[in-house]
Amino acid sequence: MTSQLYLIPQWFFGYGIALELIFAAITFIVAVYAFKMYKLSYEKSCQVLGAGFLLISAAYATWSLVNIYFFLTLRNLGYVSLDEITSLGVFGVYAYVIFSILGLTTLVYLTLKTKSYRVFSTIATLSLLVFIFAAQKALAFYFVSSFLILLVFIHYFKEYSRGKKKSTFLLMIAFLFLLISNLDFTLATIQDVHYVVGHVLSLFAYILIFSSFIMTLRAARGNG
Amino acid sequence: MAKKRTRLEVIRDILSVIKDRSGKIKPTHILYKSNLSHDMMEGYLNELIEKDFISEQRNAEGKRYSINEKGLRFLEKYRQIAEFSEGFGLS
Repeated sequence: MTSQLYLIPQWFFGYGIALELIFAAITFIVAVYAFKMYKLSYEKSCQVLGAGFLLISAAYATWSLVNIYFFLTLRNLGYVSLDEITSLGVFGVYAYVIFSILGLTTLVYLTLKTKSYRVFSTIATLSLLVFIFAAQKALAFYFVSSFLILLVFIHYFKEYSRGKKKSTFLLMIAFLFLLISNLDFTLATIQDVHYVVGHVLSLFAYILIFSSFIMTLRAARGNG
Repeated sequence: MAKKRTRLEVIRDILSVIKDRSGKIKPTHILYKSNLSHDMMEGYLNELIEKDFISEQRNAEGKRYSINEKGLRFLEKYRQIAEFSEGFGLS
């Protein structure tokens, strides 16, 4: 059985890489700002948020590097399978999965508002074990990450219901888009159009995250 | 009914009270001005000392608190920190 990861329309290879780099840049900017807020407030939540976004940024940067590597080495650019790629490519795919799962687990850990690191390590270990032992690795990864994104979405839904803040609303919708895009990526193993749709939905999500971020900056400036 | 203050708002209120008293204030004044229970106030003060936002001085008359550079910087950037924390669902 081949461990096919996803099907990619050849015309989209370059666009896909560009979008992954944009996602990496947006999440990196949010992470840097969160760390800056941590240095001012010493609030642990800012540090954890920064770490979560930094790991997600590393995941997207790795994904784009992996795709650049595939672009340069694969004979058939139509699909990416673990059986077809060299050990360097496999290492890249695993690094992407680990960064993604750890990043999302960090965000889930933040939403649980607990100080116990056991909670973090339990979620991260279980999520990674599901990926490692699954026969269909791509499906397992996208389902696990969808579940983690669902938990983050529920958190922002509750936060928005409580405070009715516009920036929180944008984040809630962003994580909904990310959830749909992740579920869509599960279909990218059978039809290449879903790889494109997944990227476009992710683009909407990251535009919303960036808009929410800009909104908080403007609000801070406006209120002195 | 008044809205419950967030953690950051409580910290801002405590630091503002200490700053307004020219940097020297007794715990009873903080308790009165910050509108917290004694235990909660103790918890916040210990946290602020740990973060190096305030300093505690003890003498024959009892404890006094003064605000540090980091505490003043927090007050100065409070709006920025609060907007980010609230916007990203951290409060």
